[in-house]
Amino acid sequence: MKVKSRYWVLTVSIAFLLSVNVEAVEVKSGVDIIRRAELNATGFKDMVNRVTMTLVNAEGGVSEREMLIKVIALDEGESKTLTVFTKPAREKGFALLTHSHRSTADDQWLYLPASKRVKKVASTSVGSSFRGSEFTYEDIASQHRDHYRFDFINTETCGDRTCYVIDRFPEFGESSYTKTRLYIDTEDYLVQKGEFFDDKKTLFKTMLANGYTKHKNGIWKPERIVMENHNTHEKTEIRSLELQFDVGLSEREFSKLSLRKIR
Amino acid sequence: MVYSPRRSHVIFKVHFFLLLLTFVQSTSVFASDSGEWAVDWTVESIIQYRYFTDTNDGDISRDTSSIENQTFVEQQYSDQQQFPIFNQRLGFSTSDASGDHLVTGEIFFHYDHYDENNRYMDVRELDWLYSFDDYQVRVGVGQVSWGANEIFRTVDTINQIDTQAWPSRTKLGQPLISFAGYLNDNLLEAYILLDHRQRRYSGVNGRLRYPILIDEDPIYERGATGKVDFALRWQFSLWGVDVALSHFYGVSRDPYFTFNFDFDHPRLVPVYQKINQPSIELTRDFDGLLTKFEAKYEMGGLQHYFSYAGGIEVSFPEVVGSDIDTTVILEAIYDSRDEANNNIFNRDVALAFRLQFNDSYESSLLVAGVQDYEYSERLLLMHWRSNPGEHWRIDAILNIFQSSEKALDRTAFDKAWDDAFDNISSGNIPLPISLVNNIYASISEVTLSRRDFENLITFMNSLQQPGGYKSSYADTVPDVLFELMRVTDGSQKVNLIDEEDYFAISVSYLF
Repeated sequence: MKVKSRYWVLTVSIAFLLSVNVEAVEVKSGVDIIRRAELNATGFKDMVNRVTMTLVNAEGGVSEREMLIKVIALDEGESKTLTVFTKPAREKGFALLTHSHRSTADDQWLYLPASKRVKKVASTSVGSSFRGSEFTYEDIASQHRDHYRFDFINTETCGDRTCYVIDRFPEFGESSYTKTRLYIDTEDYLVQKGEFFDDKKTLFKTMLANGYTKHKNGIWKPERIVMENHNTHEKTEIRSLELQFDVGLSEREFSKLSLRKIR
Repeated sequence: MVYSPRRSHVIFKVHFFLLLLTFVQSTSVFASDSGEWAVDWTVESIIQYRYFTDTNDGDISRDTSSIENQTFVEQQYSDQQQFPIFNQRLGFSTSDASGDHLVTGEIFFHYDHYDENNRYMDVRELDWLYSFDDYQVRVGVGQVSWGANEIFRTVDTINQIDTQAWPSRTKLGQPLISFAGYLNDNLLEAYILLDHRQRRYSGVNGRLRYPILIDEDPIYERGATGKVDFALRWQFSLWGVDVALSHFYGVSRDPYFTFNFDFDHPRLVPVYQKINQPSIELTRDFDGLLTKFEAKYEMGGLQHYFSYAGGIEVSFPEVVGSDIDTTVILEAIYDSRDEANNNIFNRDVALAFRLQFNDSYESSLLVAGVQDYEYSERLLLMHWRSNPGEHWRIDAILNIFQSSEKALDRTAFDKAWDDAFDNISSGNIPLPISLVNNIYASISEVTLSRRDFENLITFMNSLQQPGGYKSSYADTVPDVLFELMRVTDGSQKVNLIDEEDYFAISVSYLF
């Protein structure tokens, strides 16, 4: 007890001394780096992102989709996301509604345009492929920090930058990954790379993010995210075509009823 | 207000194009820029080839057939094995700049080369949807989907199912006016349903049907509100359970059958009656085990029954290191109906595997087995789907019915009728009561509706009137009534269609 309090005093005093460079203290803890990195992606009320999703198979065959992703940020880091396919014609109108919660598993519903049906998604399917892509439902949903444990590993060079290497472990709820290794650069705290590990703890997917731009509201967004599957040698690339913040979306646009407006 | 002239112009254009496309097979690509009232078109052509593996001539009831009842025998089954089917789907949607006003339409054509009963056009959708605040108003022909289950969809009521689309659950358009809105977290809906759509049955040359044809002129018992039906629905969440409570007051979409007792033109007549139907749907995710339940209680003039179905759905992503996502569905149903109706699933358990291959063709495979837990009857269904390229889609379907229930025995049944007819033709009328009782006893195992039983008594009486008996009856009556017995006997549901196994391949092109 005594030791612990003394340690606490020590931490506080160092923090005080080094308050000019807060990050330097936080290096010790994975979750603090994540918190800092999250600041790059949060702070907006809502967001509309029009993206293309390109599926590349092992033989190099390409198929392309277009999606409109709408996000609204709520209190306590919770959010609601609506992803609607707009192209090609076969996929058009297919939608996924996600309510991300802080302390419970996310709720997800699929909207099937042919039958006008709203179908709840089993939380075990978070690891299923999102419409044939290398991204899973889990990847598409926002991943709340409180659902994971973060271990700081070390610092490594990544491309032309230096990155913090952090291992992320699912703490509760369903996850299809036993571990995710995140590479977050030390300069701007942007996720540059993610490595995903399967049940046998072997690396099977790698995600690369690049072309980060800083928007007026201080939010950083990559222009391009590529997920590669090392087992199947298939790749999926998500590229942002048009990104807008704080357009004034309301929460009611993320209801089951609003799904019926999708065409 | 500013847009009004332009809007009507566009709507006119929409109608004009619909008419044009109805008659001209257009092959051009329809795409338009997103903008105010820009029309987004969907045109899809589907060619299907259905092959029945059996000619269906090994039926036992044919052995006693003679020349006189040849018409009925010919009508009993179609021995056509190959069925080319053509579908054309034409859809459009348009909206104002805000998306608050949406107009959607979809017209569907079905052409069956052999079965003239299955050539039809259906307006699946043609509605205007207006959204404001937390509310939506819809007017027109629409599609409404209720229910939680994947296989046994007992609660889904509003739209009539398109029987020809089996195994996919496609439904005919329903004219309606509906209002939906949120009251806090409660989603409340009210529907006014204008008239209803009849269920479509195979004709004399069609396959997958009863040995007695279905009358195209059904009986209606519409009740006080006539052709106007109503429904209410309330959806909310409680303790992690998605709950939906609905009430339907209207003409049943799922008719029961009554026999017309016309032995020259035997027909099963569908009876659509006004019903009150409260229903409930529950869905909850128990740590990845998606658990579902739905139940309804139908109260009609003749039928009071309940039906409940439920099950679980669980997903296994990327099974054994492959790229295949598997979903396993286990469902069971209990339906308390005994009278003749069109549902072969009443006391069944189904196990289905849905495999998503996540290849570049987005291939998927559904394998489902349905086992009756009351009788020894089963069904195997396989459905493969693949999308080679942006425009093409290929579906392959295999349907196998199997029953190990013993076929009904005709001996006592034929003897009772033979005795009766011998007496009538030799002028021994009225019939001795023992003979009449023999006839009633021969069908006592069968659950005839009260309506059918009364009709049988009337028919028995008419036989004993002067001129009420025709010599052709000696053959047709036992034949037809025996088939009626099979239709109304739960153990013979799959026996009746045991030889209707088929596979189908369909190729679709989306313009």
